[in-house]
Amino acid sequence: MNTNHSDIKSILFSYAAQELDHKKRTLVEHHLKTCADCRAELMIIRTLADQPVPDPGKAFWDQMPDKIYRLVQQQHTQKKSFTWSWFTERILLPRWILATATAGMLLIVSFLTFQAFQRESPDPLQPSFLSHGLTAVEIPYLTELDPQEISTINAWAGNEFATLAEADPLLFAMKDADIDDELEGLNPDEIEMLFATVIAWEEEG
Amino acid sequence: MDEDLDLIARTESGDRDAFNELVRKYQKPLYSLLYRMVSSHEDASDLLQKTFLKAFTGLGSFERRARFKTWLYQIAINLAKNIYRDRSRFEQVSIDDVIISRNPKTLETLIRNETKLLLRKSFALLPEKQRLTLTFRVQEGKKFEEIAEIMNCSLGTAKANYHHAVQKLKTIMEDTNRECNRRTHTQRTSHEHESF
Repeated sequence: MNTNHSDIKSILFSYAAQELDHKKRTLVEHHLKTCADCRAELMIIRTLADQPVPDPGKAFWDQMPDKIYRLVQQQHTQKKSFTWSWFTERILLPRWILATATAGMLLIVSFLTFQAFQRESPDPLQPSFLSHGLTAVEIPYLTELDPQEISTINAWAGNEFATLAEADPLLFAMKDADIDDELEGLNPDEIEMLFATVIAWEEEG
Repeated sequence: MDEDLDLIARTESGDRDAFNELVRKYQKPLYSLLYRMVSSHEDASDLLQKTFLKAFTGLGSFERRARFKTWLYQIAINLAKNIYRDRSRFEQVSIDDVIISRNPKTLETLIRNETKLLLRKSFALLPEKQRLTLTFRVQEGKKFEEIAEIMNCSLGTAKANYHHAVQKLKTIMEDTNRECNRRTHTQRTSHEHESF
């Protein structure tokens, strides 16, 4: 029977571990008589395998599961507190500073909100330039106003002129007059004077 | 493998008995491997606990494709690597220190013992992968397929690592034997001269 060197090498370990049947064992032993390489390898295998691992004892093995379980529980607990303490130490501490900052932020937000509510909302019938607190000398010319603003003035003037007309029919005989036509007929200086008069009347109450 | 997966699932749901069973199943083979790597009971015991701790706290990352045993071995090897590197100090055992006896049989025994000692020390200095392969094959009795799985390499690579490791140790043995033979011959020659 032919014994291939590679085949013998592949079962050398099993031979050293005494796991081969009689037939294969005989083949290996026969091959070893003539092959120094395989004899050397067998010696290496036996030398290294012959290093026993000392048994630490029954108590060691019995205690190991409990020991490891406690370590695992410890690790889980540390992870939870680590996450929270990492956060508090780096983000929240010192806590009094955070509390102060939060209170300050709330105050600022409250103040700004209050300020926003305090602003007067514009009278839709009042020309925008009046709600901005413009004085008579700052009243713009009609040519500077856009159609929306003229329409607003129109409506406002209609209300005002109606009141004035009731107060002084001679001055404002515009009962049946077309306000738009009347306004458009005025030049900028006249309109300026008109608004100044209206404002003065308003101030007199 | 199915049994391990079942134990793992039960452990994850808080079954203490399943946890204990997994530890008892693998503590001895893991300890044996770790001891061979670090040659110290204290270190092996410490690494054993760390291996299990890392495995059980990281069960979520265990991919069920590989065997649990293989995964455990991989964790153990990675943890042991650093300690092993620190402890791998080659203590020179020169053949000059061998006491040469005039009795050929005793001499032969001494040389054989010294060769074994040198062999074990040389084994400790092998490249990591070769040493691990040899440990798994010779000392742990694992098949090459399992070694390849643990070391995350191909079957061919595992066999090649084994082959190269054995070749290196053979070379050391041959050099040692050559030196011993030279000294033995020198001693015998001088003994013969004295007899005259």
